Amino acid sequence: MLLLSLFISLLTGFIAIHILCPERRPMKPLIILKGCLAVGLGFGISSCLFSLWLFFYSSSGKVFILVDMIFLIGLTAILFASSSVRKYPMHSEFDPHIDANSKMSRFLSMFFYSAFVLAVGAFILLSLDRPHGGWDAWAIWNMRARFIFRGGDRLDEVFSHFLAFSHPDYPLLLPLSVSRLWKYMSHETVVMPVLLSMLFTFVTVGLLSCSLSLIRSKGQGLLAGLVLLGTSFFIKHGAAQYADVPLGFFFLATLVLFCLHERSLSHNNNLVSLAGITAGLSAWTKNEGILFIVSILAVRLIVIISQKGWRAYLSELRSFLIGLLPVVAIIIYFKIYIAPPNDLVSAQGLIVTSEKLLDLSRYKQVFAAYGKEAIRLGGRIVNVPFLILYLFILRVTIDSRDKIGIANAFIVLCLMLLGYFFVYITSPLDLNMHLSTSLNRLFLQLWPSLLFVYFMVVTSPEQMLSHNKEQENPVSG
Amino acid sequence: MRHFCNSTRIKSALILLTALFSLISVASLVIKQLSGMNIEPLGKDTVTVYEKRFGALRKELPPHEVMGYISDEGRSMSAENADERYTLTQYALSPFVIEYTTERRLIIGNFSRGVTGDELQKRHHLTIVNDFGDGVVLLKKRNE
Repeated sequence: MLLLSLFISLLTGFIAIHILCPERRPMKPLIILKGCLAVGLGFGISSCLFSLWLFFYSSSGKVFILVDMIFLIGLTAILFASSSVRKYPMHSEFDPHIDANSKMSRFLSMFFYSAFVLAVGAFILLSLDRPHGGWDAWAIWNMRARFIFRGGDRLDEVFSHFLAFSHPDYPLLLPLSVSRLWKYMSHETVVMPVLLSMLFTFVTVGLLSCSLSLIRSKGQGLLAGLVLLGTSFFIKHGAAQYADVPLGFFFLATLVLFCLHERSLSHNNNLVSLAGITAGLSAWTKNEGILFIVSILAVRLIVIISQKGWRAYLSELRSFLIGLLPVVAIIIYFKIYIAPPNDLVSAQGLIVTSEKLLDLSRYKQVFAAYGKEAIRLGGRIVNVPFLILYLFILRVTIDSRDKIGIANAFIVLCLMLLGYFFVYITSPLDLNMHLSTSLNRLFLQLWPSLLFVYFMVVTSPEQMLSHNKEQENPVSG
Repeated sequence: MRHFCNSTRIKSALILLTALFSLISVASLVIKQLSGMNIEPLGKDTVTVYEKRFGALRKELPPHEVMGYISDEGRSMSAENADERYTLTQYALSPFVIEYTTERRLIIGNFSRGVTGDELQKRHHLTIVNDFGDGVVLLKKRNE
């Protein structure tokens, strides 16, 4: 049953992607990229289906497995019936890799695969040490999964106000995914949340690496993957089963899909619809996803209208909403009818918030914490100061086809940082405690996406080598 | 400086160093985890051991009733530890809802030391319904 539950989720994700982005001549990085997206999308869609079953029918019994199967069969039928396979193959402008098999590339491959194996080993050791995960895992996500799995029809108790410490308003992608897997197996095991966290941790690495391999170069993708694998906090946090890693995955997936859309030669917005689903799933994972959706909508409005005009924007917006709205509808239903109000929002009053907004010492405190945390981001050596030095030496090389995608991702991330900043400024909690317990996790959510933007602009190893060859042999060029 | 930055060797070395440092970072995480030797055998980690204490109690609890909670915090542990113990108790006893109060009909006692019934009765007007051992007791509010 474990394999069946995983198989159904992953196949659902893969078919959904293939319906929207069929590929006639699949390239290896593209297949892996689709596989990585399928994991997040599959678990996301399965949790949405399970939530509908839970909200409107019953959490007891196993009839929902039948619903999963029917949905999968329906998707498969759409896949075969879909004329989009013939009409709109995902035909993107990807360059043949320059020097993809150079000595440098082989070295980077060797380093990457060694780091990947070691990171999986570290993850397993960390999970053996703490199979129930860290505080948030058992106090929030896995506890809610237990309530849903053990509680049968007692759904209201999951969101009891007596459990305010466990933030009952937090969205349900992770608890539902875990309890769904337990229901398939008919018993509770720590293996499921560990497996889920492991998948999200490593598909984030895969997605970052493959997307950059596809858009920039193989070496660039491997290097970005290595830097993320070298971020111990990322691996530790994944093993702690916190929701920040899956959230980071959905942020990254959305920004990658927008970049791929800009490279796409097909005259459709299917990748934008897919980005709509992943953006929606980010808000179904954690409340920060709502800020992400608002940021995306705002940035696309500015970037697309200024670059392509209103008509292109409206067409793209429609596609984005087609993917986004089904997930957002579930979130709205959950927030209005099931979840209690958010503790940060409900504790706010207009006068108190205004006073906090005018308190300069709070700005100073948050700025200082931002600076301190930014320096710590990344590995012990390959951290932000190191990457700034790297950029200074390697220099910037931006492909004109990626300008919109990069601008979009960069401004979205800036808005996210700005949004988090003002959440702290107006926080009803003790500011020092709030910053010390959450800022590193908020930065971690953005870290894979920040690395994506960074490696989209910095000169790739292959470009550096080819520039050098051109300089050495100007005539042969 | 400009010449230094333009050197292909420097750039290549920097790329390989970035990869190497990242690899070392992952390797050091593995080594740290292995050398710490704090990997408990499966099922012997802190949370699993903690929640096993509540196994028998969970079977005895009435459904759909919010229960109270009492612990010996303030005497042998910090407020943070007490919060952690309460949260772990709620995690272990899910889907029963436990409120951190003694103002309930049934109260779950979670003590790190032996419970003295007399002391409890005096302080919180409680009587023991069932003692599950290992500091876990089910208590009842005594009628005044």
